Amino acid sequence: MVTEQGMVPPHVLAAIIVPSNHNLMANEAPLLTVSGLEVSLGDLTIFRNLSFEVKQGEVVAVIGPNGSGKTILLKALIGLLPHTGKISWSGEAKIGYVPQKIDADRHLPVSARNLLEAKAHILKLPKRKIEETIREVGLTPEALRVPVGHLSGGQFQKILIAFALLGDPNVILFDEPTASLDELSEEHIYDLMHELQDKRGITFILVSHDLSIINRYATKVLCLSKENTCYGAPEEVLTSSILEKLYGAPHKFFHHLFHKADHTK
Amino acid sequence: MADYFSGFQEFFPVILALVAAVATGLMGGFALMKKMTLAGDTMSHIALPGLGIALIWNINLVIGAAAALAIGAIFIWHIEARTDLAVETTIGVIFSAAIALGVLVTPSEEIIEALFGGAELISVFTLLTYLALSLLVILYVFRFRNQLVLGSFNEDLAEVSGVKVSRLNLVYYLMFALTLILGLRFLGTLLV
Repeated sequence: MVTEQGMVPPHVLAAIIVPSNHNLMANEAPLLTVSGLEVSLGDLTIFRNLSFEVKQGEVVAVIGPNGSGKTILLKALIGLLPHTGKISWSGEAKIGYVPQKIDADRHLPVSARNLLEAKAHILKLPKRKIEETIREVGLTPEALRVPVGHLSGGQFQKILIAFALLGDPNVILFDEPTASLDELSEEHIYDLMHELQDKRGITFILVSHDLSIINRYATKVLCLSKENTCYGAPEEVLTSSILEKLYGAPHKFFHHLFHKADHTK
Repeated sequence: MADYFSGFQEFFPVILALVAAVATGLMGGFALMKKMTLAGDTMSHIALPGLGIALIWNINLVIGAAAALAIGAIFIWHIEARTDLAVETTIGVIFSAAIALGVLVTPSEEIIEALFGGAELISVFTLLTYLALSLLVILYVFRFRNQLVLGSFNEDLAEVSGVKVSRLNLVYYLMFALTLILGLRFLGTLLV
């Protein structure tokens, strides 16, 4: 049998062309590998047998009903909570963390600038890094000066974001990014996230309830509940049947959300 | 050397008071942020069993107090690291136990001095020891102020920023205990 001249057999073609993209992904060691993770608080098992991988540049949205352990997962990933199973970050991972809510004592005589300077000092960063971060997040000089306990929810959130960004992390764990922000600030934060992702290839692991945001930004979705966990691309995971199982809510609710989400695309 | 200093001996308490004031002031600022201002008051009582035992065994009172406070500080740190109890609650429990134990072991004729301190003359050795301890506290606060600021704001964020919060707290409690010792000798356990 003679192959047609000039033609490369199909399997060779596959070996040449397809892997160029595929190989890159395969060779790239995951930034984070989680396997068989179980977290318990006291006698209460929050979730068990959780396994997933996160690669550099991905945006992973963590969803799940209230009490499913989304915040706990983030804390466990940073090593703030005892756990069993494996959590391994690659050597180059530099983590930033934006917690969901902090009860800042109204009388704590500490300003945002104090906090940023303290972190910069611990990480031995030059002073200009602070100014860069402040500009990036769009904080006003006023917000930097007053004690953190006096700030509004939105301003405080921005300061937490600035605090996380200081030190150039390549992965940010973000718990409810926009829970206390007005719409304009919310847009600003997502724009900022997008920019960080595009320009610096920052990886995000974010907890969010906002399905339209997840549809817009997430490359992977991790759904969390005591028994049913799933992990995959948004279009695989965000099906109404999975969501129904996850949240235990009627079908049409998600239909509605999905239509909304599709419109905002 | 003692002769040389003896002319100044009456000023020793003033020098000590000044240095101790700087040290306690610096520690106090962070105690306020950690919401453990009253803790200083109660924690000093933990020294009482140490004073009692020191009186019985006839060893230096400061050593007895320091040992009791160090043990107390480690207890407090240990409990705090494993529960969500406020530091003040933990200290409250330990302090009541310590007082009870202290009253039991302290010889009754000595207890007044232990509780209210004494104003005897200060030797050069004591002066230098206390100056060194005060300096240690001052240097500690200066060196770890950033970690302490982050830790008192939020321990999770501090940990993520590279602060070993648990170790930081332990050293802080020990330093806190040390600061108390600075005042203990002259003011007594009740008045620090």
